[in-house]
Amino acid sequence: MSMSSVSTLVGDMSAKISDIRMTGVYTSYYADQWVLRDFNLAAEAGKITVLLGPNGAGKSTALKVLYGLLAANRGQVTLGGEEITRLEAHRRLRKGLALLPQEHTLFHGMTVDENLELGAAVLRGDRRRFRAAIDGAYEQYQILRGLRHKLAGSLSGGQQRILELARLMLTDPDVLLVDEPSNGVAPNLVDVAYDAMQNWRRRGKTILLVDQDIEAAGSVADYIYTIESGQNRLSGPATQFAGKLRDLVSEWLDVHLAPENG
Amino acid sequence: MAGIIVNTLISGLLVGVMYGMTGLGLTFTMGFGKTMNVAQGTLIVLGSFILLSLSTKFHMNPFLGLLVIIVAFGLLGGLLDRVLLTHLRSKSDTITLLVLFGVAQVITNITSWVYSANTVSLTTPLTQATVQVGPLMISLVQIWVAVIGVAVMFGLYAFLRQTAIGKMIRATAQSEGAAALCGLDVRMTRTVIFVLGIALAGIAGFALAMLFPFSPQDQDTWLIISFVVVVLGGVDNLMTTLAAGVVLGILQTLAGLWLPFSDQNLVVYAVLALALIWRSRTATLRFRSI
Repeated sequence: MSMSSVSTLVGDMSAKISDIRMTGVYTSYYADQWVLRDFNLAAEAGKITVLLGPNGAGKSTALKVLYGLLAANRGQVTLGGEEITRLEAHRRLRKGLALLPQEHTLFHGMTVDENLELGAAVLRGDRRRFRAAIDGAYEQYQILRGLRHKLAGSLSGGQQRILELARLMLTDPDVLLVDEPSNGVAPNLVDVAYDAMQNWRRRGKTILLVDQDIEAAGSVADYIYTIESGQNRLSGPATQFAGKLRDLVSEWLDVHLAPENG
Repeated sequence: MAGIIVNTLISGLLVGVMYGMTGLGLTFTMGFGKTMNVAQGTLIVLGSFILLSLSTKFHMNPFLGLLVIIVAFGLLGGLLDRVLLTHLRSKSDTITLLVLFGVAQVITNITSWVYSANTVSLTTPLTQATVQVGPLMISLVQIWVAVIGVAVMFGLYAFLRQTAIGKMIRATAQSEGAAALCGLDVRMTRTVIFVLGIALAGIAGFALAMLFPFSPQDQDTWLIISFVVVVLGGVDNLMTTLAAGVVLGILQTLAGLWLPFSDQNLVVYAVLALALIWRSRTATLRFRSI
């Protein structure tokens, strides 16, 4: 990291420091079948916090509760100290919370330009900021310039991923929830998402990552939580997990991990 | 004979624009709003009766009446959406369908009660005027309705493409989940879509009253015609909706040359059947512009 980026980082952080946490959260899809049970988690600014666990443990559910797509039956969600447990999902982006879900969420029948306009829709009240956000996205992702009048659905997988990331960052959210960026995409696209997350960390963003790929997630993690059957298991700074992450996780979670190159 | 055919084609074209207008409302509620509005036909006929009242009781100019109907129907759409539909959407499509069916029954009964079940027609100086174009006599009101229909379609098209709200509507129609992630208020957008759909039913009601006799029992005919137009034109494209109306209008009017009046609706059902078969075979996998 260069000195200049450190100084901008400090400047940014003094302006807005956000952390997101959930405390004592219970949630269920069906009555009496808790998907999360007394679950606690906190992610801090300038860090990548990773949530690991076997399939069906409740990782993506936790992200859904944090974003308001699923209600918490009990417990609390706070963003930068403010309680947002009952805040509607579409109001959370204005609060600086953004979600990158695992399924593709572009508007396929609309142009790249229109996708970006919609991603910046909450800024429309401030015409200058709205334009600046979209121009900034084209500045940062030059490849999108030549594609601006193409339908999002006609782009290649890599281009779509870049458009998703560009759209996600238009409102300059403080807290980013990233769900399974490795799931079902080509390896080079996984790198695009991981590079972006490391870039966001440098800019002081709060990142909470859920990924099946324990090695990849572990390699960028600052802090790790583990979850099993909707409950907290071990957690701690990533340094405590160094070198033995794979063995530890397989032992705690009793899951059969895919071979190294599988 | 050639003269008759040309006359019929022109008449079919102009009536077809009106058919297209009946489909525009359904394109909104069904294509963009994902709500099968079975009350569409009833609302169209209600619009016709309101225009009749405004014209005969209050001696209002039909074009002014049209503006009143647009506003009133927009409000009605907002009311129906917020009171009945908003809470039901998350539950099941069947319940929404049944509720709208109930709404249709209630409105039809009220219309029959207020206006009796007789067939009526609106007669104004405008509806009786004709214009001479070369050797052809064309009803002036048909031209007016066609002009309004085309203007409404192009207006809506520009609205959906150019305005922020229009883009929100298209985005919400494609993916409500993605729209919510962009911070768009999906519930509000759905209400706007329904308001526009119902206002468009009102505009179609104006067109119906200007062109044809009508009765409270006509609701099914107009629901089916708007449904055929939407199936033929594709649920999310305004241009093809209007074009589909024109195709249907021309086919039906041409058939009128040979078929008895009572059998003319056969053409509508035949087109519906063919359109459904065609649509099911060409289920599009490509990404189309919306």
